[in-house]
Amino acid sequence: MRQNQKLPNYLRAYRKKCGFTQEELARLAQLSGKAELCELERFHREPSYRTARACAKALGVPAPRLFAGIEASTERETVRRMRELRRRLAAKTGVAGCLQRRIAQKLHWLGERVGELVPNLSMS
Amino acid sequence: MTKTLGPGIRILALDLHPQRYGFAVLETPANLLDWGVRRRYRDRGSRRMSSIQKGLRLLLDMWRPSLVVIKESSRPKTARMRRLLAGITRESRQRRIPVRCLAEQSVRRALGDESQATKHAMASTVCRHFPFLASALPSPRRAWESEDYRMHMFTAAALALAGSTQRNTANNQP
Repeated sequence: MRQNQKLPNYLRAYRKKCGFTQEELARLAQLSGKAELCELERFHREPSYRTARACAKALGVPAPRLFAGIEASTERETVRRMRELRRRLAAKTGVAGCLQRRIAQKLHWLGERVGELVPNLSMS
Repeated sequence: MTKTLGPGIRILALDLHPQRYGFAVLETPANLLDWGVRRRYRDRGSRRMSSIQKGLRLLLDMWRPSLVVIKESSRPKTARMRRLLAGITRESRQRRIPVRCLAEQSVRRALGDESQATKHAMASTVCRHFPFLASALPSPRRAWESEDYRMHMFTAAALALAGSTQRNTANNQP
């Protein structure tokens, strides 16, 4: 049986476990109304940073767990972009001096970050 | 011999009835994501059937499960139930989701107590797994009362729990 990808968010599950109505959580998260929360719960749109933090605080769940799918897809996309940037930087040849050192610094940083993020990706 | 499904598998369990259905969405090992009962008393005849099927389609699209579990009924009593079962099977097949039918006995076995005589006892066992459902548990039905509509939700949750333990026999499609 195939393993499912993480859902973009688990707002509905945690909200119902707490016993809150959509209206109540919408008020706690400073949303305009329950329709907005409903859209988030049905994965029709992604929350702003402020909304995500407010929901996490109100439900007592860390934001990366509450928005597990968004977290995973953001991480995947960022790693992809970092690899792309690393390839572009590595292809830059024929530069000298200060610029060469800056490129080396960036490559070193990108290498470390990708190394850190890739094990997380394989786990999620 | 039974074994538990691996983590991260979403199961949609349905307890179908011609006028309403209970549903539960479980992510293995034991994370209940959604549950409830949808009732369609206002609509009549084919309109009711189509609105129930529309609701089921929405559930399949929203939760994108890997497995649909329904209660086994070897001979559905009404033509509507037959149509409903055929509909959910067709929708699941279109999305390449296997459908598993579980008999009530195997649900009780999966919950760990085969001696449970009533649905209420089974619902109480479900509440031990998911304490947040306890507030929705109706009081035991008396002989002259009809069943509380919320029992469909507990049956669906029990089905989901049973569906997460996989028997070694092949999956059966209705």
